[in-house]
Amino acid sequence: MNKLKSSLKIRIILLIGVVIIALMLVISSVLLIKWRDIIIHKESENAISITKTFAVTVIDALIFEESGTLQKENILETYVDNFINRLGNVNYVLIYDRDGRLILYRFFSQGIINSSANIGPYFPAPKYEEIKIFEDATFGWIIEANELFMLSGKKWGSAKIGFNAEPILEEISSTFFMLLGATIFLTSIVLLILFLSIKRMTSSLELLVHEIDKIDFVSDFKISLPEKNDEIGFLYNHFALLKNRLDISRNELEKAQKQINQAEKLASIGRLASGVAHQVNNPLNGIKSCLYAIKKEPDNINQWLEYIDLINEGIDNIETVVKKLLGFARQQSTSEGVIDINDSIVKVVNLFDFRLKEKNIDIKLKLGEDLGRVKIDNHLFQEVVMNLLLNSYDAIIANGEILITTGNFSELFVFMEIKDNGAGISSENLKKIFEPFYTTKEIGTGTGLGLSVCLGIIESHGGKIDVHSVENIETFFRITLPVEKNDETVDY
Amino acid sequence: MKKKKLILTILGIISLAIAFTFLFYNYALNITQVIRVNPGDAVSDSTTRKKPVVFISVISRYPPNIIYRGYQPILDYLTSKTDYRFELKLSSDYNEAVNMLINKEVSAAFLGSYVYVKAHKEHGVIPILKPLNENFVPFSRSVLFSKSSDGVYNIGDLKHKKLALPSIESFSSNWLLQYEFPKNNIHQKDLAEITNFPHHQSVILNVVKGKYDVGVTREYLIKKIHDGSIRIILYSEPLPTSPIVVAADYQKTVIDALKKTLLEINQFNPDREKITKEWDAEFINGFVEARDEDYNFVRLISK
Repeated sequence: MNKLKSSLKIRIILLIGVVIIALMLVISSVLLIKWRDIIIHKESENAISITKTFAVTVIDALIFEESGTLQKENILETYVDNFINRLGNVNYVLIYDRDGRLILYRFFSQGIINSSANIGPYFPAPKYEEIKIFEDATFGWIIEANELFMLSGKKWGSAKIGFNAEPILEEISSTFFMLLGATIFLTSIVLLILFLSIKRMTSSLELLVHEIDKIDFVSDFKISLPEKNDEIGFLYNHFALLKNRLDISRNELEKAQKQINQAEKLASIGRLASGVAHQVNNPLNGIKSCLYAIKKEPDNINQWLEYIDLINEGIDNIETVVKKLLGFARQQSTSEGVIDINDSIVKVVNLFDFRLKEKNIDIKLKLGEDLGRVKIDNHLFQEVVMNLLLNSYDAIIANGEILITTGNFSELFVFMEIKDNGAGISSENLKKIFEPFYTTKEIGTGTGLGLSVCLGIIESHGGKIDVHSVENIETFFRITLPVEKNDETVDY
Repeated sequence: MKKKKLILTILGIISLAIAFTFLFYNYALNITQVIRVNPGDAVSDSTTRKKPVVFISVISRYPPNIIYRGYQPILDYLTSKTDYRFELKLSSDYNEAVNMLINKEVSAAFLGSYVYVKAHKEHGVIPILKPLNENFVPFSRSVLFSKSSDGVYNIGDLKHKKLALPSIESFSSNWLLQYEFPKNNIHQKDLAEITNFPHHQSVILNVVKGKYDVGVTREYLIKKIHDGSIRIILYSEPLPTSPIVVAADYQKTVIDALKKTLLEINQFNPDREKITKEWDAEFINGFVEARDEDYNFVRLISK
């Protein structure tokens, strides 16, 4: 979940954060450029207006001078000095005649009008009406208005007026920092909202994952998620539906598993049938002989008494065999209890005893003492033991040996080992023996489900099956099951 | 490792943003630029300078700057339509304009009616064109006017009033003093003060400001004042408009070009208003040819 958090929350915040920062920077940049252009345009227009107004008076002065009415130097000097003093933001004024000769200049610096400055850099006379904005070595940033004194088609002269442009830079600078502040503030707000939204969204996902983690697919756990009307709620609903479908599938799987187990059990019984028939047949033959002797000498009371006891003993034997068989074959409802696996092993071995004798197989039990109790259905465990014994039985042609060993593996596990010296399993086949319907036996002899069922039973109880085999020497199965800590009841 | 990568990524983004901000700040503060305001002016001036110059004088009925603003556009139009570059030569008084014409300093002159009659008599100058008024006839009137708030309603109320007149050489001055005063039995000594100003604008300005009670000027100048502050007391008889005059031995090629160009400005010219937009109000309706006999009424007053 931590991994999910980092990949979802941080990645989204990073991605959207980068996009928002980029967008805000672009928007702020465009705004500033537009704002800057407006400021420059406004100041340029202002400079043009002032210069045009200035030009009207200068042209009049030049006209009066031409008509001999006035001396231009007098009126121009006075006018230019008043102009500079009144405006306050003029750094210099240069006036040229119609042939481009400088006829008057004034420089204004630190409140003093100066008419003896170095005017070299400010030549020549302007050729066009234009606004120049540049950084001057003496005055700093300047807006220079170049004006041609035109009256209709006649040129009377020209002028350069340098206005102080530092306020423009200050205005642009303050606008820049205002926009930067707004960008940072808005970006922070958006990222905070984004963070809180994603946190809320991921918390819903965390809750969903928490509910998923609770599911063990064995118990009938009911999920409990809050109702939501958004996409998360949609996900919740679909998860609940999925959980229901899984429950149904699990139930059907359990049913199928039971049917397989029962089928495999019945198959095992079929394979036991000949041995069982022999166990029943021997007492029956004894009973039949006793009945024949009684019928022949019906008056022999002593014989009657002796044979009736024998008949009774034979019937008890038959009853025992049938009970064992019925006990194994009965379809029991699955109910897990805590069992001692030694008891279950002994019962199966007893049921199987006669068949082992048929092949002269020597079975030895080396059962450990003080075994830990195991939580498993007794019938299922017996089925496992029966399947493994049948496989050992099939693997031994005659005069073999089967050794069953049990013990505590640690405090946490118990084990059961079944070892035979039969035909063994090739390494190639060893990989496939737990696959369903895989068998090397003749058709009709095995179902191919035995070991698959065993594996399913053991693994569903938290255990495992290990197998080791050397062809024509031995085969060795070890079952490990967890010990139940809380002993409840012993299921026999 | 992942956390380190994340921190590096965030630091990278912040570094990029700071770098961009810094570079952009420097870019924003570099405001160097050149904005061309009116790129055509210098060109037009230089092309017309190649043409031969023809000087035209104007009598000083208005201040020089006003004359330039009203007459220079006429000369610019002539320059654009002929092979000559027409330039103004201002005169300091009414007679100087005539003298410049006689002395060949100028090829033509805008004169007043009264000055023309005198110049014709003394130097034989001849009129070639006269402007049309708003009704497209070549007549104008002089007017006696006062402020609306003053109690002057007819010429008989002028006694003990202060009178402002244009130049003594103007028709307007002579019309009132030589024609209307005798006709109405008014003597100059009956008035508190009579002053001649060099320009018509000065007359109007002094009456409007209340420095003088009444004044005399041209009707078309008074019509520019629409605020109701002026009352017209008396109109003159219609008299021929002020002529453009040439010397008797004028340069025919130049003057024919001038006449031909200006005669195209009349009520039938669809571009008249556009062409004369900046011209002096006296000339915006165009011109007709002028003859010496047209000014006989002025001669009658001048006697």
